[in-house]
Amino acid sequence: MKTSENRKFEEEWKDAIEGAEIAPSDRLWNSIDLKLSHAERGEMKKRVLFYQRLAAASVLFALCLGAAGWFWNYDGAGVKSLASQQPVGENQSEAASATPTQSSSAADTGSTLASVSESPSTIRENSAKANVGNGSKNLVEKGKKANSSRQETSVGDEIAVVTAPSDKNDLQFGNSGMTESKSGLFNAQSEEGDLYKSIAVSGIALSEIHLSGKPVEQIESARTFKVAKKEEKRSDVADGNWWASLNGSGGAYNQSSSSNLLANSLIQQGPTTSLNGAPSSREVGVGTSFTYGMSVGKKIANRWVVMGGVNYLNQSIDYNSNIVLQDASQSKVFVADLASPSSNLASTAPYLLRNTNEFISIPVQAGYLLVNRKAGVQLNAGVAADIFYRNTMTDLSGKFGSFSQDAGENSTYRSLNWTGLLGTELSYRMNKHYHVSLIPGFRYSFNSVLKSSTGSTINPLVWDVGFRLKYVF
Amino acid sequence: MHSEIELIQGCAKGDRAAQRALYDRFSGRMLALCHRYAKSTQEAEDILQEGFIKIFGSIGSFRQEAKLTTWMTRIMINTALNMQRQKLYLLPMVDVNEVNLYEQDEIGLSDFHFSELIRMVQSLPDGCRIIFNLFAIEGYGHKEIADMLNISEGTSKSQYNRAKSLLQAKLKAERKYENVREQKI
Repeated sequence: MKTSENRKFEEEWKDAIEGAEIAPSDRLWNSIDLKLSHAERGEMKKRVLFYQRLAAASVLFALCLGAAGWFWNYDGAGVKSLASQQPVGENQSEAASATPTQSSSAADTGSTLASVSESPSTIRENSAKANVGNGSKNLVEKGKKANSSRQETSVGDEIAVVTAPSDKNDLQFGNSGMTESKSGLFNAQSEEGDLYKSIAVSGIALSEIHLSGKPVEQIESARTFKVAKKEEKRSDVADGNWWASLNGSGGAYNQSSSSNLLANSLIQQGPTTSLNGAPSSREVGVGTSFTYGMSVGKKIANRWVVMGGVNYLNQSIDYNSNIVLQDASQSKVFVADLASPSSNLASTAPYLLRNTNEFISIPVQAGYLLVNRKAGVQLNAGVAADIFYRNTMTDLSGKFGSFSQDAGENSTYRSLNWTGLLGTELSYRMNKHYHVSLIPGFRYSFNSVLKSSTGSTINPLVWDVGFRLKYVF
Repeated sequence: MHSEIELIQGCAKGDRAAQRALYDRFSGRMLALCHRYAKSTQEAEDILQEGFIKIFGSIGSFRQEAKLTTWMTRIMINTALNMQRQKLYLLPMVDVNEVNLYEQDEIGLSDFHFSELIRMVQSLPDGCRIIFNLFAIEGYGHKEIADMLNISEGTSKSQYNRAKSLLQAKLKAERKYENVREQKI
């Protein structure tokens, strides 16, 4: 009985209270609306920060790759400078001053040092013997096979050709002999990458200097050989040629807009408007941007590239708007940012609309090749002339009519806009003619795409990732 | 008129129009709930604001396994409890030994206006008010309430009995006042 009485108490209260409603004031929704906007702005800032970090990381990554590529590519630079700048006499005297012990040691291990003071014919003989003695027979054989025509020339040339192998495995100098050579003659060499090859080439060249009495030319011939070899290695790249590409990109788009002053002033002036409340057009989140088009380019210097092209550019973003443009026949969607003095606006319940801007973009960019190998890294920067094509606003619920405007005097959009471009191109060479690239980057409009008469500014900022399929002619 | 699913989807996308529509549809009921947990109108509005921000923030994770109103009510209650929790720590709830339970008179609540009843509930001490709402109106058991508020089950029961006793006293007092006034008229 007691329990049922107790339950009766609760049920009575539940019936009396549950389901009741108290109408909230409008002020409450405004506060919520404001808080939501702040939260969205915070969210957008986080996204912007993410993309900024992503772009910074990709640039840093490219720089690291470039530095590493430069370091590994630094083959023989020291040798070249040694050969071309260091007085030959010094080398001669160093070679001559080698102690008998050193000479004999070098001779034992087959280095060409042993033959420095001998006649050209002896040198050839000893060199061949020494190589055989060190298990490097195929060095001579391979050199002869590959350069049979050159063997008919002078002694110096012949030696240079024979001892300039294309494969490290063919260079089986004795280790002790090599050490001796470094300390005696080639101590200026510091690069490890092509140490064996460089020592071989320079060593022979210096031997010939002593023998032939034509030091500079001989050193030069050895150097030229190396450069030619390097060029031969890269001959399949077709770097110096023109290229054409198809490209596309997609990414996030932020309008970086300022508040509209004109639309607010329209309410106060009021003759052409029937606005009851403040016109408000708020972006909903981050917009999207995509481009597609074609480009052409050319490598103009060792590491510099110029390129240009034509792209179709589409940028769209959603708005919450509470105003419509009153037309004779129907109400059309509108955002406050685009208000012009001739706008006949009316307020309405908030609705969601999509605002899309289309441009024809003509970019011109310069690129710097940080890494120019099978996988390449390139930094690109430049400007684009964005020719305004059309603005279209569509009510996503379909309640109001679409609004569209082209470029021209009556348009609220500027016909020509200048945009800065910055990006990193990560490329991969599939074969001699086809390359593919991923291009993360930014584009930021230097000027507002809206005319100053609107009282508002929109400077589109885009972070995107592009793709390029390149054909090298 | 949007369907509930359309509203949920719109709110999940951050569509302000959908958020406004959801607010318009449920804010009255939710504000009444907030009034029961709050001490004042200002406090109730604070709870409502905070609650709707949470609802819009997490509606993307709403799986529609429960009814939307149930889910929203739960969020509002949690928001109210979080806002009251600090007070509860400052004034920890203890067992109330001396509870004078009035004999149940035939005092029908239908004689009272909703706003009067709400005022009576709001006048209860913080702990009593919350436990009365959770037990009598929302239908939670004392064990659940004890877990939610990190108190003992006994404390929950005694606080509820105290709330009940206070409400009965208030109802009686109101009735007497009404009778006297009627007689005077």
